Amino acid sequence: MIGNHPRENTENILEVRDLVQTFSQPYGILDRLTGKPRKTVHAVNGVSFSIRRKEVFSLVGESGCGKSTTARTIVRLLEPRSGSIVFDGEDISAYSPTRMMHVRKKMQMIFQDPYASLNPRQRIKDIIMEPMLFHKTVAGKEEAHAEMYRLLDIVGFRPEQAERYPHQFSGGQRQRIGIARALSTNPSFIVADEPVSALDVSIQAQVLNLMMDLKDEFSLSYLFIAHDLSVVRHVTERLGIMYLGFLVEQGDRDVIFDTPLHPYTRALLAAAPTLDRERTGDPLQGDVPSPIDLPPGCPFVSRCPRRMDVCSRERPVLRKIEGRFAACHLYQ
Amino acid sequence: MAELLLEVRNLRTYFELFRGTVKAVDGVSFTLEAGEILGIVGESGGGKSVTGFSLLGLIDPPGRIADGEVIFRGEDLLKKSAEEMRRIRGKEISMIFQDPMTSLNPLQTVGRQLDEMLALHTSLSASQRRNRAVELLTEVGIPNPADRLENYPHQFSGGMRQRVVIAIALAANPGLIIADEPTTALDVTVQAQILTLMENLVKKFGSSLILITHDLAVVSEMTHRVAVMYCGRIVEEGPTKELIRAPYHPYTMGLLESIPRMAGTRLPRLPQIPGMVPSLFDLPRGCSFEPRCPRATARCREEIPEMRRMTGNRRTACHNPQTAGKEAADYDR
Amino acid sequence: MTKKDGFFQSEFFHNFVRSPGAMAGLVVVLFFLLMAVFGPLFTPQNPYDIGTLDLMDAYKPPVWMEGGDPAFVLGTDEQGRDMLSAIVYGSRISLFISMIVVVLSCIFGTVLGLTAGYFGGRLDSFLMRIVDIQLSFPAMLVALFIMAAFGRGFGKLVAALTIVGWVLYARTVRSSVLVEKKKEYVDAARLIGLSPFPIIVRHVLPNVLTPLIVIATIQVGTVILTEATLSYLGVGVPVTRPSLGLLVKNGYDVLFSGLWWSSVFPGMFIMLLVFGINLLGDFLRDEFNPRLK
Repeated sequence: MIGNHPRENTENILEVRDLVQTFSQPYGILDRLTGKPRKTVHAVNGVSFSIRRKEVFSLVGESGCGKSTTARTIVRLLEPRSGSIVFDGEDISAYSPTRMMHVRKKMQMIFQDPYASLNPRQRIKDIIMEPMLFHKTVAGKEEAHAEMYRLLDIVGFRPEQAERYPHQFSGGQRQRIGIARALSTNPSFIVADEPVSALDVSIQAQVLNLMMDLKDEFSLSYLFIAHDLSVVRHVTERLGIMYLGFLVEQGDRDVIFDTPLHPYTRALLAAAPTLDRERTGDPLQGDVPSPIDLPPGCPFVSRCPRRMDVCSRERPVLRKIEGRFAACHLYQ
Repeated sequence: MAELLLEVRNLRTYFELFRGTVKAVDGVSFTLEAGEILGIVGESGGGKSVTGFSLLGLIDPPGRIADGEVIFRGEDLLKKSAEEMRRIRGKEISMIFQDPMTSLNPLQTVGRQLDEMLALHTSLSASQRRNRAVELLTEVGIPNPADRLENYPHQFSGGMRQRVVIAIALAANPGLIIADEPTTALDVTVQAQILTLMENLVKKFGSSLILITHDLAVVSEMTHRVAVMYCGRIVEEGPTKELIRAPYHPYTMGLLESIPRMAGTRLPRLPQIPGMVPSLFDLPRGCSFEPRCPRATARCREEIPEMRRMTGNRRTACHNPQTAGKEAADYDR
Repeated sequence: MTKKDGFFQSEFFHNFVRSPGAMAGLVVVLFFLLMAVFGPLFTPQNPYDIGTLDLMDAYKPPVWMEGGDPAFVLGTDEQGRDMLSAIVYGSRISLFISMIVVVLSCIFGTVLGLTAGYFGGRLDSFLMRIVDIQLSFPAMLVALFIMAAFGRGFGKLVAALTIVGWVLYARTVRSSVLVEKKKEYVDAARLIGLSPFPIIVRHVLPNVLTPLIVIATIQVGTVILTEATLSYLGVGVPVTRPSLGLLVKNGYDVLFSGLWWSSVFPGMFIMLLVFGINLLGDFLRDEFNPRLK
């Protein structure tokens, strides 16, 4: 592990500033001929947050809120439209694939769908050894094998299972193989994109426990993407709530869960089904608006039970209120 | 005591596959009263969806209903002809599926699909049917219902589509609605809308509801009674509140424990059920849960436990049920 | 999992032996392959060796007809060539050309389809427009035009059939690539830092092969038919090395003067071979792609 964190003095492993991500919708010859306007999906609209070393930070929200796009942009699977991504002291937002190379082995990802995230034609051992052989984090084939068996053991497999193919494993087992692959280059930062949402409840607990054990053992920081609030509450230290590509509230776990301020955070917490309480109040009405034409004011204005006149005119910014950040005119 | 609407006795649905016989549902019995909401809960492979499909006779080869009775309003549905079942489906019993996109025809307007259901199962005239369709869409909370009748399914959002599906399911005022993971594909805020809607409508229309889901939290908020399934069998059944407060079966216990809480103290580690669901081709000889069970004894390895009555209205199939409730958590953290 | 992991315990093998069509197809195809490889060892004549032919033997009917000669089981053609020998050698040529063409067009089509599908953009649009244009002409017409322009010969025939054939593979591979590249395992490969070439070769290619196997099998039959037609029209193989198609053509000239055998027998062999290949191909398609059932 020595030498893995060259800038141990910097407090944050990741700092994201004003991250913007857009996608243009397909614009074919027919659209051009009929004079249709070009449409742009505003997926992420100026998101800023930072993650401390050995911390779990979560991005929470419903589908289409931009949380996964944010994650995929941070690991540079997508090119950011604008904004900066400072990882381990380096702004990687404009790095070429070659310059990204030494960053790649320090940031890895755990994926949502255990049935799609492993190449069905690769043996388990090759899936796990490929990253370390590519980055030469091991001296040679022999060391790679030893390291592969060590990782398999850590995530709970017997050595002979290394010879098998992904289809011979269950969803939960595949997710553990995906975790072993993510660990194979000895990273310091892992993006986990809905890592347990495709798993059965009893298997969820196993995978979450494993991820938390590994966090201590490997000194990992996690960016955890999830829609399940109870899972987030269990794993995270701080979190941000996203809506329509905006961060609407951000702060420490207990502050957010105990005293949510933003009306969307409150609605989200109230809507989550739980074992330990009755559902209270009316559920939030309506649907998330289209990310193609963003409303000029607050992104939440169309569904907000406490909207005011100013909300449809002016877009609120994140301000520090009562120990957390919230973007809402109620508190400005 | 309310009227008994449905009684399922010893239902067995088997699938004959290349690698052997899968007993997807293996001796399931339960009852449902008029107006009652029953949850069937379990993980994938538990047999909860196959149970739902079996009630409606919707099992295609290589599957077959090997044994059992499904007595609905005094008549055994499994003895009905295909023609009779077609008349029962939609009119007496309707079904709501997980993915609203596949249960609606993408090439027909929503109005046409509602009208079809009404024409098939009611004796209303064309104009009455149109009025009824508007009423139904209003009922499920779709704004501008008269205009929306002309829209196609893709013009609705996921939540709105599921409302349309519910409207169609309610069209003939069926006695029983079977909802198979109706909100799994939806976001939490939309899920909350749909669950509240279903709860209110079932009450208003006087229907019974079987809610099939993997989500114990949804079950705990929605249902009166719950049956927990594991490997094709019901392992525990009883009034929802009591069962969740103090489960008898170690599997139920494990499931409940492994769900992180939204309030209260945060455990450093989640209690977890060890291992995984056994292959349905190769089930243990005794209790299916024995290999994962912290309370297993030699007897559990040899003998499949029978369902037996416990206190009150509760039943469980376990040789060593949890007695005093939660303080006896046996799972490792 | 259980120990049942070998090929002979697989569901594929199980279904194969229980499918009459697949087994019949396999028998036919094996018969032709064996005939193509070992047939010349057993034929009474080498039909290419003009020296062994005797014009006195011309137009002998099959052995079971009046005037038949036991030396020429299926009769002879106008040069006194033994039809059975000619068919054995002709099948060899037909199968050989067809297999080379399928391999070549599969390679070209796959490379172009992988490139178009993975990179997308202008290259993709360009390649796919070529495919569209080519598919809007009947394949036969395109091949006929190429052969007419460059003349007959093995090399030219193979080239023409490959030019006609690659589009199908390119299109299939491209659409499979579009599906595969959205899957998370490709993201995982990109996150390792791999560049496009190893990602395409190691991760995408192995996962788009299954539909290719199905198409390639069926294409062997289609190419045999196209080649036969071209040869029949006189722009295919050289006259000195007749394929099955050319044999049909040679016999056709005298078909209506009662000398039916020199045309009908090669025709029946083409039919049998293509039928066998299609039976096999249909089984593979059903096994690998349940949605097409």
